[in-house]
Amino acid sequence: MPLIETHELTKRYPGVTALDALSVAIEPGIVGLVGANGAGKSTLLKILLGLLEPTGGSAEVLGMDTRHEGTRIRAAVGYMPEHDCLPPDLTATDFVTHMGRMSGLPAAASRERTADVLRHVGLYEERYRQIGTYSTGMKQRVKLAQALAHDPRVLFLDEPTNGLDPAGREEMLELVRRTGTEFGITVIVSSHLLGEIERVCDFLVAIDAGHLLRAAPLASFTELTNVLSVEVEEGSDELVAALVAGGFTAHVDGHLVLVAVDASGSAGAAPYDAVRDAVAEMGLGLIRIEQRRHSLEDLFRDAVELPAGTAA
Amino acid sequence: MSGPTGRDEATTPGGGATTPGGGAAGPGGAIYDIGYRGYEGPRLRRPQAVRTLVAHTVRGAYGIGRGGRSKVVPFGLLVLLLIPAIVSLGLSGLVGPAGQRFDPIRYESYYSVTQTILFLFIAAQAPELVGPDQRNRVLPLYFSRPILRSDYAFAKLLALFVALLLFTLAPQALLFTGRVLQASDISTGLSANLPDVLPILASAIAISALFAALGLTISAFTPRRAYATAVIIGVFIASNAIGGILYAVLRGEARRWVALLSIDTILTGLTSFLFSTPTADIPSPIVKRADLPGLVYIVATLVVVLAMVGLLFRRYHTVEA
Repeated sequence: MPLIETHELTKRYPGVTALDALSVAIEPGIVGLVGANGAGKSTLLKILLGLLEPTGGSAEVLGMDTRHEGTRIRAAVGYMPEHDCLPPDLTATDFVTHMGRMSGLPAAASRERTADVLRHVGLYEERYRQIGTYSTGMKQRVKLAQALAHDPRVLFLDEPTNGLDPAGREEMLELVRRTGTEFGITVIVSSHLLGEIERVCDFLVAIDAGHLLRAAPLASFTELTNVLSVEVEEGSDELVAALVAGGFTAHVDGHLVLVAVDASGSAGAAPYDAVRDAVAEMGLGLIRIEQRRHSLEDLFRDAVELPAGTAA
Repeated sequence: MSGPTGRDEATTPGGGATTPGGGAAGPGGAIYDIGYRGYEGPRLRRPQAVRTLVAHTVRGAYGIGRGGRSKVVPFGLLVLLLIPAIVSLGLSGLVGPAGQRFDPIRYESYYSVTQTILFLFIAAQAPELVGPDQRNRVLPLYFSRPILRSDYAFAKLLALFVALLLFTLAPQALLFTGRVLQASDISTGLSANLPDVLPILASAIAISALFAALGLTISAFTPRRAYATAVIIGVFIASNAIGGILYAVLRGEARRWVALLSIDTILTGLTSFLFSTPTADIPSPIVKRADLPGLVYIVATLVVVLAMVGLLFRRYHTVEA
């Protein structure tokens, strides 16, 4: 059974559909939840926590229904919201201890774990200072610490790198990676920055405007496409003409010539041979010939670059 | 309720490298694993979380665990509240217990003497208990804990009630202790003062419940402290003013029921009933003239409290998290 599963999950607000019949299954690991701002990432996390009631559909976390077993889910899940959520007049130690106890830990255990998790997120002497005196980076660490205080089985991190400088982003991503790999806690981390999230995740869920674009292991997002990319010094148009005449689907894209290859690959080396022969025949300078890989950005690129039937 | 519940599965999701306790003692000393440690101990349930939040909030009401400035208002007001009791005890110490007969500071009159201070405490502290959680957006962190939204509302209300009960009882307890000790001997003192204990407790509970429900519900509707304080004071003054105006305008039977229009007259009527104060000694002319049965004031208090609690729970059911 998947760790998290949604069925036709829908959330409508007056005038806006935040989630539109989203069905997805998520397995343990570090899972990136990626989409533009407003794509429905935060809404999804809040529904999974039982903080928001869905308009339609259902969702299960650890096999528990979000509508009816919210408290049991929240006992096993840690949540780091996107926004500021810390009281400025408490110390990090007092606050995280309090939150640990609110999650069901006895007082002594909560104090002990607070010391552990604050050290883990990299807060030392400053943990006895009022949170109001902290930098943004330190506040993000406290937010992560309070989510870890009760040793959850699943962590929901909503845009954990928000507002951080480049060095702070690096450190936060490293913390996320370590939390997922060394502690074995499943981490669902949302971000609108693909480049960031692909560095820590092993599974990616991409959503756009409340729809699921794709949910798959990270590697499959960057697998080979059915497009051969050819770069010649000059004469792109002539090359395309020659290839089309030879029965291939090809067109010019910027300084590249894109040639469709058979999806199954059964055509073997035929397109490669055709390009080689055409280039040699016309005496063009061939710079590069390679099979294109998907880039994560392709997911969100609406424009279809190739004629119908050739896109992957 | 708070028995060990543990985890369903036998293994830590954290897996291998980490063990609870985190260390192994060898002959040459202890080796500590400073890596991540899971938690295998008991996980307590909602009642424990509510207790935690109540304790945390009661401390917050007095500024304990916060900065020094947070303590100024509650403890300043507490000192003001205690002054009449201290003065009264000082006077009877000088004049002797006989002077108590003429002393305006008595158990039954303490509320009417100090109600403004009680009220300032509510206006100042009730917004502090719920406003910051909304202002700083800590509420989503509470709601993402294994509690219900209603648990949060209930804990906050109970906390303000307890904080206010302590505040209301403190001068009475001082007065009681002083009176007993000032008596010719302890047993005389106890027999003279013990009959008042039940009315003291009952009136303190009623006053605290009414003020807590009113103050917390108003405060829950805004993250802004200043607005909440202004509305609380406004409600108190406006209800008194409306009561006063109607009392002046109305005639006949309707005039009696004006006593149920303001918070002040409801509580004066209730305390007078609980202490069996003779009608002539009731400090409020409106309540004196109304001469309503005590049960009416009890019902009025309950109605206000329940209405406020209903509103409070509705607010936290719908507030965005």
